[in-house]
Amino acid sequence: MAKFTQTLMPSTRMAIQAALAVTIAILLGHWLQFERAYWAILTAMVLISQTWGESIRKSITRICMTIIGGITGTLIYFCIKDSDYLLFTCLLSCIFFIVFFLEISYLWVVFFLTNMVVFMFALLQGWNTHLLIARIEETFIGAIITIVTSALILPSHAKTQLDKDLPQLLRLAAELTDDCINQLLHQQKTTVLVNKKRIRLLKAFALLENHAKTMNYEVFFSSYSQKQLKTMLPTLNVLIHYVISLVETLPFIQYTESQALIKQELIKVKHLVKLNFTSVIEHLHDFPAHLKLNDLEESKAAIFTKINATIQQDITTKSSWFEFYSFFYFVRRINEVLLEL
Amino acid sequence: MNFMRKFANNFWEKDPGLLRSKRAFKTILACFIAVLLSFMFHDRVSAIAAGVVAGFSLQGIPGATRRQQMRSMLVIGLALVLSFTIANILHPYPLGISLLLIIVSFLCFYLRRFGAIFNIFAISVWATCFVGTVMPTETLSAALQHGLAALMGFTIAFIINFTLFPENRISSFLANLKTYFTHCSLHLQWLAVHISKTTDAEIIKQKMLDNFQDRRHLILFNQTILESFIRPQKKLLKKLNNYFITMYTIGKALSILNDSCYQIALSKIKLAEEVQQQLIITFNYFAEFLQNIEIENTSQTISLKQKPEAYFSYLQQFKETLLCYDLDDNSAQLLTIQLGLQQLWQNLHKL
Repeated sequence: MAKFTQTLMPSTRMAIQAALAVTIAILLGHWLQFERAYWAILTAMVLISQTWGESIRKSITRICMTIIGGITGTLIYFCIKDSDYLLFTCLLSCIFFIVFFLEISYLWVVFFLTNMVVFMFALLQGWNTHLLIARIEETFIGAIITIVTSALILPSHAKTQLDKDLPQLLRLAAELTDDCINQLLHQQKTTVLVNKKRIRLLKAFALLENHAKTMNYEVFFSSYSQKQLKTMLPTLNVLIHYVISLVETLPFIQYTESQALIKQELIKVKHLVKLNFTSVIEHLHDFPAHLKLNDLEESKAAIFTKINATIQQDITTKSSWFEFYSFFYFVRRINEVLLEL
Repeated sequence: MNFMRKFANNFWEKDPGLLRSKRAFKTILACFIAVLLSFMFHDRVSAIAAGVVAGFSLQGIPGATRRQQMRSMLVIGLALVLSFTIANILHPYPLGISLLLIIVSFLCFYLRRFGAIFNIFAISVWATCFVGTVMPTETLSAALQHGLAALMGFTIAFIINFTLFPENRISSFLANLKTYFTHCSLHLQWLAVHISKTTDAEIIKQKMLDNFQDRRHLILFNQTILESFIRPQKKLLKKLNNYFITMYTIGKALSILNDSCYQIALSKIKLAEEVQQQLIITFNYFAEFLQNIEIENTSQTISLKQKPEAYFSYLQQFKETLLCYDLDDNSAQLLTIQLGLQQLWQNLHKL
């Protein structure tokens, strides 16, 4: 089943979950004779998300803001219920803020949406605490339907996504680092392929960040610890920063004949960094105590000795090494971050 | 007054070009007029139909130019009116509305495979369909009357959308770009102040994270604008794409500068007075350039009024100062700052 879920496109999976959630909400509404079953149907539909964690996050937000928004709207209603003009003004204000926050904050959208429902009902047929309770209950039922459907039907857990995203991200970072060092060795400027890989790396990181955030809501139900999540993201952010910095530095490097002197050391550095990436990817969950990653101190000392010797022979070459120095500094930092991971 | 200015700046950054505010205002105006007119000639249900369709018609309209937006809105409006009308016709038949809701729920998410453009469109169709199933109706003629009211609501929304604050996505993109440059300028000014002080390293690191988050929403907003374009002119799209990439690469250069300042503070490296002064001057000059960028948008061509050639000399001076330093771990951060400034200069020059 898990394999089948992986083969489906996210849009198809969510479509099936949405159809089933709505079906369950309709059937439950008929069976249990809900007063306002359409609220449960609406809630069940809109809370379907890419991962189970995301569904839980949206459900919690929805329930909380429905309660807060409902109470706020009801209190305002009781203050102004005799004036249809004021009620209509409040309704329009809510619509304004819903549209304003639509692409910024789901939390505020739900708050103003609930208020809007209060004022709309107030204008049409009147509002009371019984309706408020019904709204909260139906929203809660809709949210439960979504959470259960997302968990049982073609589930996509953020943790599962994360287990795929993390090695994929590290492989991309390893490839890009390797490509950059290769381009330096062959004295090339940045190629189209390297630029495309950079974009892929950034998209992969954005996806991983999204899954990591929603995984917080699955943490109670999974073996990943809060501490692991908290330390992982900033470290990966730093790693990506230095890998991208490598790509950004390539166009600025001034290629000179004297760089041929350090070619062997650079090849060794490339090999060591690649080995470190491979070790980290292979042992992401269970890094054995006996396994040690390679540091670059020896290579660094060799490279600096050769560079300083070159500069002593001809001082005018010093400025041509600046960008290379920054490039090598980024490679060392990438290696240090891998050691931290 | 200071509080008002801060509030206005914060608001402007959340809504550059006031795009969202204008759209929200148009929505409430369209809803108000649609409901008022429907109420005068029809019943309450028609008024709600008109208001709902008017409101949803104004959301998520793709298209770079006015003509494209008009075409998109016509398609969206037709879909919304049809979905409401069909749903309302089926209102007396519980099995019918159940099946309709299930099918539309499925399609709402399934359509996402064809691109992000369909996200808001799909949910709008679902919402109007849902409202149609809920709104009471006894006969076919009543349902058709409600459908006509929905059509009237859409028509009002269409007129308002293209007469009041018509959306100029290119202007919004450029307004965003300007806000972004201003933000980057303030960041550079902050670094200029704190490079000479013994500021705590964690404060410098936190500054980078805060600025990254703030700039991110501006980048995402421009990305959304670019994604909403349907078959735009190649030359224009290429230019806007370049600007978009420049936003990102300038942000990256600033991250490199901030990170270097952080490493200097962390390692408690004492910079020579001369180097400090040069850095302050260079940072402030780049900040000034970013602050004063003027972008012209005339008949589909975009150009800058200023070029950063004058600032290149400061960069060269700083590079010459670095020649006095030995190439070792202590000078690594200064060399990285030099690289970050070069990247900044080159990206500004490309504009």
